Amino acid sequence: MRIEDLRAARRPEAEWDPFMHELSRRIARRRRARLMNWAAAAALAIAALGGLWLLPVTRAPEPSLRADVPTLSEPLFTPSAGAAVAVSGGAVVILPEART
Amino acid sequence: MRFGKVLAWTLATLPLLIVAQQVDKLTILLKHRDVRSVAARVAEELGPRGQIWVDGAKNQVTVEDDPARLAQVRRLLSDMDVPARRFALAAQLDVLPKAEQKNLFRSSPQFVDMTAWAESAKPTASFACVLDLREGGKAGCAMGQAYRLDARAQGYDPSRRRLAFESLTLTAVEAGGRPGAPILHGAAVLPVGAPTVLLVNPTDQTPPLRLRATPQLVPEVQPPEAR
Repeated sequence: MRIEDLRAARRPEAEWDPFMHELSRRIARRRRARLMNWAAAAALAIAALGGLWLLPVTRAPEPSLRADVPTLSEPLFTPSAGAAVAVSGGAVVILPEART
Repeated sequence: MRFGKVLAWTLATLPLLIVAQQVDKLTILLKHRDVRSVAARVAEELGPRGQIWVDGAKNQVTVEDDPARLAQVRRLLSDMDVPARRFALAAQLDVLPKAEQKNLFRSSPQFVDMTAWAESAKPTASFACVLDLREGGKAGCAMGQAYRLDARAQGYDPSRRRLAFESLTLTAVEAGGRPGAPILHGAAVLPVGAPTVLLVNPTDQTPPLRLRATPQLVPEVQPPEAR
């Protein structure tokens, strides 16, 4: 039997009984749900692939080293107490008053 | 005639004056260092007409100065903008005999003589250790059972060969192994490759101490597979 014959043999919708109406609605609902599932899965896959592609591009920059280079104004030794220090003949002398 | 001479001289010297007034601008983006850690050192190289701008967000520095000074600044920045260098801080702690005087380092006319004595005095005990540390890093080592040395390094100035320490701490270790009060604690800037002697007289009861610290730059050796 050809598809044209089947279409011709199909009863008009006005003659359908309640069972056929319900069946048609269920089939339509099932198709919509399947379409939505596919769309969601495709969107998820695209997002995952896009994320993978972006991963090396948006790599976080390496933190710069913060290690202050000394200037000439900085003394040989600065005690935390900020008290007496003397430099004599290349030696730094920490006086007892400067103890922390 | 006179006016003509003046005009001729002015015209002849004008290009020279313009060239003399010329300042160039240099912008460098730092890769390895925070720009704030080198700005103060770079500013020291500037001439009277030099200016420096620091952009922390882009980590770049802009310098304006004479072309000759700019070349110097460029060289200095390229020397400084490298990954953290590695240093070995060789430390030797000498426990000196107690002086007959009550206070060894009291400010007195004999002060310099006492310092000279403390520098050359024969120690009663000696301890040594080597700290392995990088710029911006910290390290510590035990000096015998009674003392401990801790250091936190800052940056290295390759042109002056000086290494800064955020803190250099010598601590007396108590009987139970607990760290006691620091005997020596402070920031330091030590010359690399040369010893610096620190003389400390902790208390009248304890002996004076002589700490000799020598930082050495350790060359980076790449593993064969990375070459």
